[in-house]
Amino acid sequence: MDHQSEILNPTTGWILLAILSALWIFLGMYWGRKAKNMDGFMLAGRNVGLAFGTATAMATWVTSNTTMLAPQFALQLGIWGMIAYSTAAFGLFLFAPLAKRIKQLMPKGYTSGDFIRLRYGKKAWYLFLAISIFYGFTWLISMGMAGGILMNALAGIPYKMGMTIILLVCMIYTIFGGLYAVIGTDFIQSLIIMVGIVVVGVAVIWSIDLDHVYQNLTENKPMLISVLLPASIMAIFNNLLFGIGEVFHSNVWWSRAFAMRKGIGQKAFTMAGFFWIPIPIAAGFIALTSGSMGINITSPDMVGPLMAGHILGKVGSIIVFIVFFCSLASSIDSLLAATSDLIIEDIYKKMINRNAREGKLRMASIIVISGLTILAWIICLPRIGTLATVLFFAGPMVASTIYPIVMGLFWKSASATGAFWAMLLGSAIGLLAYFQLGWYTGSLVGAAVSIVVTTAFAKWNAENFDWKKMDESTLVNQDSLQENLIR
Amino acid sequence: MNFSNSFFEMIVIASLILMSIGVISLLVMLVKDIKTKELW
Amino acid sequence: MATRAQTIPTPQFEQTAYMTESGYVQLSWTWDGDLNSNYSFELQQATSQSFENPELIYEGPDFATFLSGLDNGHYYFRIRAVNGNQSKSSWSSPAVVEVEHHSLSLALSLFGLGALVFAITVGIVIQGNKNSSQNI
Repeated sequence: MDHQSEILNPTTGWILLAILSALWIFLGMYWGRKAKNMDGFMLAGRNVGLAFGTATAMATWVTSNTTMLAPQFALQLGIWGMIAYSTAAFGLFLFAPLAKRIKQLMPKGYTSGDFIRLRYGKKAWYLFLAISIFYGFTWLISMGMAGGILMNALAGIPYKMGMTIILLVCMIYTIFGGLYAVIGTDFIQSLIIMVGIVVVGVAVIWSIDLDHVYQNLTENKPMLISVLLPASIMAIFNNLLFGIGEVFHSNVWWSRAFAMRKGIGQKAFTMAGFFWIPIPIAAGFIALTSGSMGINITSPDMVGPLMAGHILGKVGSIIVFIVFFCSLASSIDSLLAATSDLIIEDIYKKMINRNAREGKLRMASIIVISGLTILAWIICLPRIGTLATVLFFAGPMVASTIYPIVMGLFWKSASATGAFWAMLLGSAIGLLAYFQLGWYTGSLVGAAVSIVVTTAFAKWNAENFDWKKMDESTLVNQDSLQENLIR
Repeated sequence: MNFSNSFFEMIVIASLILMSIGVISLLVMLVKDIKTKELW
Repeated sequence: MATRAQTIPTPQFEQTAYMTESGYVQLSWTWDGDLNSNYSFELQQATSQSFENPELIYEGPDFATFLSGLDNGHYYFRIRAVNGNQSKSSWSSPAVVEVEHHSLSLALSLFGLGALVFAITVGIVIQGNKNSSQNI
């Protein structure tokens, strides 16, 4: 055992947990009353404004990974490590124009699966769904585990209790309020996360001397300030492409693009990128103070909370606890909502029950959201630490979807066969690189293969896609027209 | 070749400033959206 | 001293040889002593196996430490347990950490490939955005 004791007493932990849980459930249910139909439940009425749009994009991208892994990156990979993590903001920046295009092409779309199906047909769609659901689900598991581990480490709350509570709370308010609840809570959560990190960061700068920190790094951890630390140099673009792949393909982001009012998406995602980019640095630099403070770190994944607790005492620990809870909740709720949308829209409605009506769809959503939560809970229960690393296998897979998505949105010539093979070969060769060359090459190779394959097919096996086919609302009308004629 | 001390301090302080701007902007946008009834 | 030293068990590293290409490593150790006693560990680092001019890098009750930012080279570590009343165990057998960073040329080629893929991606998005804003 590593033996590092918790920094808050369990009573305080339980009180915080109870207050936050009650708050989210109450707000989720309150806002959820706006969800009167399926468009409301799945897409918050497709009319989300700039403030909520920006906040939800930012908060969802702040996961436990940002607040926990950024300090870890800083401690392992130094100054480059923090910067490398910050580059994930490009996922949001580059998605901004895509969000505009998505809304333009598919005003009545529901999911990223819809796009792949309409644009490329069934073969690519099945593969895409497999990748996307694998990614969404492993992300969910990694976050459930992180919740349990964090609350255990911060406040001594037993792992199983912490993990169960955070999953349960998010499940309840997502079931009641759908995307309204998710976006509403995201706004408050993003404010809490940002204020919390700024307060902790400023207090840390106030109480310690950064010159001293730097001096200590020069003496004891010289490679952390080196511009030429090879492991970091390799991590930068791999991390960046992983981030782009995550955002571009995932229905978490597509549902937000659909949910925002016309003309909002591009602005909201761009601003979210700017607000997000400093977070890994602001949260990460604290890890670099451990040496000069003479604090022993037993395991790098706990360095962030540990240092905040040491430097700022109890108040610091309480802030850290709240920030973590918010960053976990803001992502878990989004994942539950977006993954269930994907399953309902793409699998249930399009493969199983084509004529399902509102009531039935809402019922199905409740079942899918609870099902996802229970499944994630069962897998999280044994606390197999290595399981969380499964998320990183998703790197090459999601990176391989980047170009089928981007070129599919902008190029008439991007072809279905090309998209299929780009995802298949990109994932396969990327995974091979992950295991044969090292983790820091997986997403990069996946993306590189995907770009070559998609471009090659667009050039030599070009399609001439009719953009009008993307707007299913017109197609659906024709369908029902035909049905009526037959009757 | 090392990142300089001032570079390190600069990115840390800049990131904290940028985040503060973020908080303020979110609040300003919120008020604006509420006023024009364009929240959602 | 010598007789009392035998009463405190010597901690042992869980692994005695490490190899890292990224300059970070977690050292952990085990100890059979009484966890309720007023114990702590002393961890020394040196650049030679003979532990000339050792540096005390950790003193405390934890069972692991995480080191990072190490430059290329061999680092030697040894640990002992200290009881509150100043009796000390003997030193553990040493652990050696070999740091050999990835070659810079490999790192820079991957960096270059990444930069290229990224630049093309940005290009496609910007170009696409421009065209779609004009056409439709």
